[in-house]
Amino acid sequence: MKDRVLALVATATGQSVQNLDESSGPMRTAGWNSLAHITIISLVEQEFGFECSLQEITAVKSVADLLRLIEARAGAR
Amino acid sequence: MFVDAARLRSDLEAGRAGQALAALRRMPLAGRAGEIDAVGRVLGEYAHAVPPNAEQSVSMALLGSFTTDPIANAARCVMAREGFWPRVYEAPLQAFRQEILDPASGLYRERPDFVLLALHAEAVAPFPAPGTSPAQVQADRARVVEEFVGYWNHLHDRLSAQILQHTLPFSPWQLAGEGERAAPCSTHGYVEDLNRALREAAPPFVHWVDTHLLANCVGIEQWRNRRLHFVGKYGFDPRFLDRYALCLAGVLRALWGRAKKCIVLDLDNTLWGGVVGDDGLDGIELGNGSPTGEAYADFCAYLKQLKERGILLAVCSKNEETAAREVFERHRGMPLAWTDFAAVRCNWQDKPANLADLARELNLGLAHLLFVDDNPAECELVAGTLPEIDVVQLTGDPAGFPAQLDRAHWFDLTTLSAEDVGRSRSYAARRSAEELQRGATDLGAYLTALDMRGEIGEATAADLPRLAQMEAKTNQFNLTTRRFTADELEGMSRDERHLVLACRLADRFADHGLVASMVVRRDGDRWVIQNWLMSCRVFSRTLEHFMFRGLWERAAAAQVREIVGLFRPSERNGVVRDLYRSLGFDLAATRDEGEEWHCAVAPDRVPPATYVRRADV
Repeated sequence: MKDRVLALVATATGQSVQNLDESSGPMRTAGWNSLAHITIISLVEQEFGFECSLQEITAVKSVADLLRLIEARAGAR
Repeated sequence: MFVDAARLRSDLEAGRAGQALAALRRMPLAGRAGEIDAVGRVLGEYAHAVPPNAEQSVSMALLGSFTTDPIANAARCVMAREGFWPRVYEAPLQAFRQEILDPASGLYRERPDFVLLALHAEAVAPFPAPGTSPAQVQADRARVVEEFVGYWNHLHDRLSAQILQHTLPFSPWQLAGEGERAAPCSTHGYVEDLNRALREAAPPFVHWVDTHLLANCVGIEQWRNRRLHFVGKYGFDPRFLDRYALCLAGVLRALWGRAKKCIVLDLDNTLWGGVVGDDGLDGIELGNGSPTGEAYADFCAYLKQLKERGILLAVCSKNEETAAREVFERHRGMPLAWTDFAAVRCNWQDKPANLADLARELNLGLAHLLFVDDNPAECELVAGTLPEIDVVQLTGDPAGFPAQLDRAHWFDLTTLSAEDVGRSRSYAARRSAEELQRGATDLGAYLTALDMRGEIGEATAADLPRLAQMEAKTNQFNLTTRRFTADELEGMSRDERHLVLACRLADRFADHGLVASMVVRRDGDRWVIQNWLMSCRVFSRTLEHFMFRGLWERAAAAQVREIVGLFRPSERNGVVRDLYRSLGFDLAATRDEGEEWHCAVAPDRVPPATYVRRADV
C-alpha cells in the first residue's frame, strides 16, 4: 500500500518516488503545496474507494498520516 | 504514450527543452486528469527558465472567480501538445474586474495571446432574490451583459487578444421544484438566459469554453464538488481536468485552424464487430439483432452525422476492398454508404504509408487527419511514424465509441458556416423540420416527412426467430393471438399452402428492422389471413395499408378471388377491432371463435393509400 501511495504523491507533486518517504508532507516536500494536497487526496480517494471528510483532508500532515487514514477508512470496509 | 512528470522535470532541469516539448507533442488527454495536472505544474515551474522561441511560444492569462491552478495546468498541456511552449499568467483569485480595469495590472504586463475568463454564475452577478419581478430580472441581466461587453472591448482594444470565457454552469440547487424553472427569479432560468444573452452580445473575438454543457455531461453535483470548493476554492472537481482540457483544446484548435477535417477509419471491430473477411457479411455484428450490433450501428450513425456536418470520412483498413464494400452496399444494419467515404485504402500496406497517401489524395495536411482504430499496435505504429497525426484508439465496448470521439472536441469550430455543412443539406433539413412541426396539426404532413421505406416479402430462415419472438410478445396489434411457434412458422414458410410475410420499416430517424408479419393460408382461390402482427413502435403510420397492398398484389397475381381476415378479440387487441372494416372488408360471420371478414379481390377495387413507400423502388 505504501508504494501505491508514494506513487500517487509522486504524480501529484511532480517529484520522483526516490525523493519521497513516510515523513514527506505538505510544506516540507517540494511540490506538495495546498493544491497538490487536494490532488493527492483526490487520487487516494479514487484509488482506495472512499471519500475523506473536510476534517480528514486538513488533518493529513504527512504520508504516514495518509497511510493511517487509508487503513482506517478503506480497511474498515 | 505516457508522459512522465518526473522525466519531464529532469529534461527541463538539464536544459533539454526541445526534447521535453517533443515528448509532449500529441500528449493524450482523455482519462489523464492526474497526469495533466502534474505535467502542467512542471511546465509552469520552468516556464521562465527556458528561453522561448518567440514563434513557438503562446501565452494565456487566466482571470478566475475560483482557483485557476488546475486550469493553468490544463492550458499548459493543451498548448504544449500542439507544439507551443506555454506561458500562463494567473491573476489573483476573484480579482478579474480589477485586472481588466487597472492598466497597471499583471494582465497588461504579460500581454497574452489569449485571455481566459473562468467564472461562476455567482461571481458574475448575484442570483435574483425570490420575489424579484420579471422586469427587474431582465434589467439586471441587461446590466450584466453591458458590463461584459465593456470588459471584452476594453481587453480587445488594449491587448488585441482573443478572449475565451466559460459558459456558466447551473447551480445544483432547486429551491422550488417544478415551480423553479418557470419562476422569474429561478436560478436555472437566470443561468440559461444569461448564457444566451452573453453569447448573443459577444463580438467575434470572444469564444466560449462550454463548461455549462460539460458540467451537465458529467453531472453538476460531481462537477461542482462542494468539498473541494470549501477546501481549496476549486471551481470544479479536478477529476474532470481531462474533460476540461479536451474542451479547451477544441476551442484553441478551432482558433488556430487546426480542427480535424477528416476521420480515417479502420473497419473490422471499429465499424462492426468481427472480421468481415473471416466471418462473412452475415457473420459480423452490426445493426438490429444484438446489443453489440446496435452499438456499432449507432457509432456508424454518429459518423454519418459528422459527415453531414462536413467532416470527411475515409477508410484505412487491412481488408479486401470487395468484402469491405459489400458491408456498406448490402448489409441492412449499416447506416453508412460506400459513397459516404471521400477516399478509401483497403489493402495490405502498412497504415502510415496509406495515411500519407490519403492526405495527398485529399489535399489535406497530416495534422488535419484523425486516425481511429481499435488495434493498439496500429495506433502505436501510426503515432510513432507520423507524429503530426492525432490517433484515437477505441477501447472497451462499442457503446462508448461515439463518446470517445465526441468528448475530445476534435472537430470544434468557432462558427459553423454554410460551407462547413453544405448549403443544400441545411435547407433540406430545415424544410423537413418545418414539415415535422406542421405535423402537430396535420398527420399527413407528419407521415410524409417521416420518409418511411417499407419492405414486405416472404420470410427467410433468418427472419424466423424474430417472427416467433413477435408471435409470443405482441398483444395489441395481434388479430387472432394464435401465437405460432418457431417450428410452426418454419413449417409454414416451407409449405406451398402457406405464405409467411415479413415486413421491415425504416424512416428518417431509424431503421426499425422487422416490425410486422402476416401468416396466410392458401385455400385455392381464397386466401385466409391466419394471423397478422405489428410491433407497437410503428402503429398509426399506415404500415398496415402498405402490408395489405403487398398481400393484395400477390393475391391478384395469383388470381385469388377473395381474401378472408380472421379477428378474435382479446383483452388487449382493441386497437385492431376495426382493422378489416377500415381496409374494405365486410363482416361475413361471427362465431364463438371470432369474426370472419371477407374482401373480394376485384380489379376495380383499390386498397387504402399508404405513406410508406417501397424501399426497393
